[in-house]
Amino acid sequence: MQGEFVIETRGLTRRYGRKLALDRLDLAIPRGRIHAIVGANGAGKSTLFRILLGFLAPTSGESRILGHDSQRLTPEDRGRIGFVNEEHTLPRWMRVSQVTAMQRHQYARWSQRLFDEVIGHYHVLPEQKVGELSRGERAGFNLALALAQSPELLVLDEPTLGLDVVAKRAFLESLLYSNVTEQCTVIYCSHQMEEVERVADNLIILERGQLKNMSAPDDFRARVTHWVADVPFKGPDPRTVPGLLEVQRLDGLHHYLVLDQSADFEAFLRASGARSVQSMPVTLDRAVNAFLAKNHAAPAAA
Amino acid sequence: MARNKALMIQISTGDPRPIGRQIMDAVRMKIATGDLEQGDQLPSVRGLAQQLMVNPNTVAKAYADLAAEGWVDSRQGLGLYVAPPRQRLSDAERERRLDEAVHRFVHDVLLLDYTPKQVQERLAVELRALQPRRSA
Amino acid sequence: MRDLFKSEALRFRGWTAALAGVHLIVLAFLTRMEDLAQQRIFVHTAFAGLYALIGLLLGLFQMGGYRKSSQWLNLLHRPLSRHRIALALVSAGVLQLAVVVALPILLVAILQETTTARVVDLRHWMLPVSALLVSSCAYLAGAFCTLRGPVYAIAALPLLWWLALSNAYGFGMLAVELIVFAWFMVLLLDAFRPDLSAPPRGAGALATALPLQLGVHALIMVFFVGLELVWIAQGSHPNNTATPPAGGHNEVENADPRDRMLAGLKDSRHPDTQLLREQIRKSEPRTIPLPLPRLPQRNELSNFRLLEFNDPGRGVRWVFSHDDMRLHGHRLADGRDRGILGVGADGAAFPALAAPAWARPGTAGEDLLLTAGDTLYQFALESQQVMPRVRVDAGEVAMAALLVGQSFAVMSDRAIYFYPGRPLASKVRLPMPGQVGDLRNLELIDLDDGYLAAFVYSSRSHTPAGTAPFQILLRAHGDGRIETIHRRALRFDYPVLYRYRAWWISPALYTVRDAALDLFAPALPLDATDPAPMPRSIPWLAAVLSLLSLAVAVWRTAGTTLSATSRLAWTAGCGLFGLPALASLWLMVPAQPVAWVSRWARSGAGNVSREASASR
Repeated sequence: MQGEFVIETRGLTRRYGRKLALDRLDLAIPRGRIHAIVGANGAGKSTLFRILLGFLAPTSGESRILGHDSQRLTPEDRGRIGFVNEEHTLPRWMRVSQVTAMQRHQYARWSQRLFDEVIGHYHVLPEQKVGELSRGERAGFNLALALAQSPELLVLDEPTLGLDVVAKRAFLESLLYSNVTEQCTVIYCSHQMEEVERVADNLIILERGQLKNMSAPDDFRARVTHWVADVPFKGPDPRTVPGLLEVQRLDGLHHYLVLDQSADFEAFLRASGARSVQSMPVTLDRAVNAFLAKNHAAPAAA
Repeated sequence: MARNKALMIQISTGDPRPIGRQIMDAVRMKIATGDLEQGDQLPSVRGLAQQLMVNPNTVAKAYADLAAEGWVDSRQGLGLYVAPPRQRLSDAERERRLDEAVHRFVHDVLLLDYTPKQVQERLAVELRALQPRRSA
Repeated sequence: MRDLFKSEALRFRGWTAALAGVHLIVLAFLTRMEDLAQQRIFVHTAFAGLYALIGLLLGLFQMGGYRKSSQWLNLLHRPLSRHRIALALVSAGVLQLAVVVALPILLVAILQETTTARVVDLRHWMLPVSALLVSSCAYLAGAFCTLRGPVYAIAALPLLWWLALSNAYGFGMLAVELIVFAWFMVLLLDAFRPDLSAPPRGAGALATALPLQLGVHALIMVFFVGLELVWIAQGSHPNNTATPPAGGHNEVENADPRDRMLAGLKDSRHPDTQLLREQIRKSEPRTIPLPLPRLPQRNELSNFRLLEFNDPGRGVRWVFSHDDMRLHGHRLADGRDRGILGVGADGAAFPALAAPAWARPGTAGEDLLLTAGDTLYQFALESQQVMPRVRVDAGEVAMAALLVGQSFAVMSDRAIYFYPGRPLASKVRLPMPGQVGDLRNLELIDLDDGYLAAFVYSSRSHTPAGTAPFQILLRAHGDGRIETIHRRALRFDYPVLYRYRAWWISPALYTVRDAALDLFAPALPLDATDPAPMPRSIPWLAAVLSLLSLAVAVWRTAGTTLSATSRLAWTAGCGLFGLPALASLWLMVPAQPVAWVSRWARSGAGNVSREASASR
């Protein structure tokens, strides 16, 4: 069944006591390509995946994965969805070869070639016990297992968390080298904007259980601009600044990070008494952080 | 004569320019300085994506944009090759773009407190650096 | 599935090997000193408790390792149905228990059978099976509680307790163990879902609800015990007052035997009353130790009574074998076989299980007595033969032999047979005036002509099954005539509410509990009672509580998203089972409605994508 969307949620809500982990989330992720999901801790990413894979029931709303209802996934459905999380859970007492054999038997579309390709990036021997591998090696092994399943949908939830720089690079390399996106849709959750920038075709931002953005990363980045103005005294009231994400006062100059503002913003600043105004684009990292920090900076602002 | 030449470019994630744009700028610079000559074959999309550790779609888009601007030619089934230099833009367009670039340049250096003479000298140095290696 | 099974089996192999080794060494060591098969029930129960503990720990540890959400996801997110995953894990667990618990017992049994002359019956070969089942039930309980949460221990414990309290014997007990095992499997499979916080559903809900309610019932009983302690501390508890309440059964039970017999004559209008009082005062009443020892059952797994006795003169121990219904002897010194003993010269099989009757006091070293069925046998040490001596009436079971003064007496479950020591005197049969299950005290006096027996029936008067307490004095004359001297009713010392506390909380659960404990159990004569009629207030109280539960259930289920049939079932259940059912409703059905999936309109899905792109 080749549906248009691999993941769909409608009004998905999950409440823990008084806290809303997911707040009427409407999400539709199309098939194909690499989608990055970004959000602060507590934004609802883990809750979302647990619900999508049927490991948690929502308080209200619906969710579908690969066209099937999340709460009613069959073993066949699960065989088409790969999941890798930051803990890279594997039975520690088993040998690498034994775990590989178990996966090979379970998944009908197992590709030994893909497995060998990916595992080749790591110094992992078949006779080693999983408990003996370093964290990075375990992550690589886990990725190899997940990719070799030839899934239709591959979800990676913070897979490089806690890995050292070398291991992180090896992981990304093996992911991109595998050309996985030729057959499968990848959902990549991460805090590391550096990885997201390299890897994502589509940037999804979640904040406090809601969808805040879904677009190409560059399109999002282009929406945020950095303005530096020499404004006397305290400058305009932050609540009046259109599209304000962040404001800082450094060396007597006002630095504004604003969203969706055109060159007209200069006019606004000059009208507020700015003597000199300059603007420049921002990095994706900065744009996303400012966007997410907005809610913390001025909670009263709309 | 077509040779497969290594593309020695870098991209950085902390750059305000998107990765696709960085690739395009780097390829254009290589062509402009003569590191890439007419007829040289660019690396495959997959190959360059692996080399730079980025999403292949980003490389594919950059290549497509380069082809659209006429810097490279796509040969069916063989890949991308550096195109012969030709004027791809109309005179009016060229004029417009030069105006735009000059405007921007002047605007940017305005506050730097250099004399026009110093700025012109600097500009001359840069342009001279590009000159000799550019193939006619 | 096989891979997962092997993986789990590998996980514990170190511990399994080590524990199996330790177990085997301990058993082998103990076997050299004692015949482990011929131990009393409490020894076997202690071992069973230990095996259950091992099983429980395995269940907690194995499932505990998977309980964490990332581990659980990794375990269940695979192209294998959740039932097969559960089965793979459980099979591996039970295999470990088979190696640790059952295998050493089996090996020791083989050792005992092949290298010693000790009796190893079919029932003993069943012991490793029973041990494995008990251990596995505890294992499943541990696994279940790990997945569902510690509160569900309230449901798991009654099932495990059923194993401990069941009245079944032998194969019946194995059947009960199998039922509990199957029940736990149903519970575990229902709990084994990707969404661990989902409440029990369907058959699983039914299977969880009943033990849960029984558990709540038991907790209420414990609470009542607490209240009883307060009552005791307060000082007005009938058992603990300085002087027992006058006219009640406690007073009589705690009295001196002579005083008890004299009390039996209180308010008597019989002409011989004064005479008998003097007789009682100058005699030494023979008190019969009660309750009577349990009857052995064919193929019982353990032993309430040891069916063995020693012949000290020849240094031989004789042990009764259930398989061939004969006595097997072996030398105490070196364990060598000393032959098989049946009834009579030709060694016929005993018609029933033979247990040592009470030896006649002062006859150490002389003949030994055995009871089997309705017959009393004598083991003649000189001739080394067993001969039948005395037979009670058909349909009765001979229980014990005793001396009363100069006479020899045999007690059956319904009468006492006196064999006077005087020459030419014939036997006297004194039928017992109540049910043996109610009998609390029995005193006998050998009179010049006949016997005087004082009975107190009150042993279960503090429970719903007990009789209304009374005391009765009977006189058996030498010519066989039986005369009732006096019968007096005793007061219930305990208030009605206390006596029926197990019943009025939930009559339905009380019945279910009794039925469960008696499942596959033989009807035992010692358990027969003559229940007192239930006072009318008690059923009214139960009815009121049921209605109250029903009402609260209706209110409570209104706020949930249960289907109409579920709601009806829960409400009916609360009406039928009362307050414990209400407690289980509270626990199992969350108040906050959880969204089960409703239909997804395809047009709705199309709208979502447009909305999503418009959100940019």
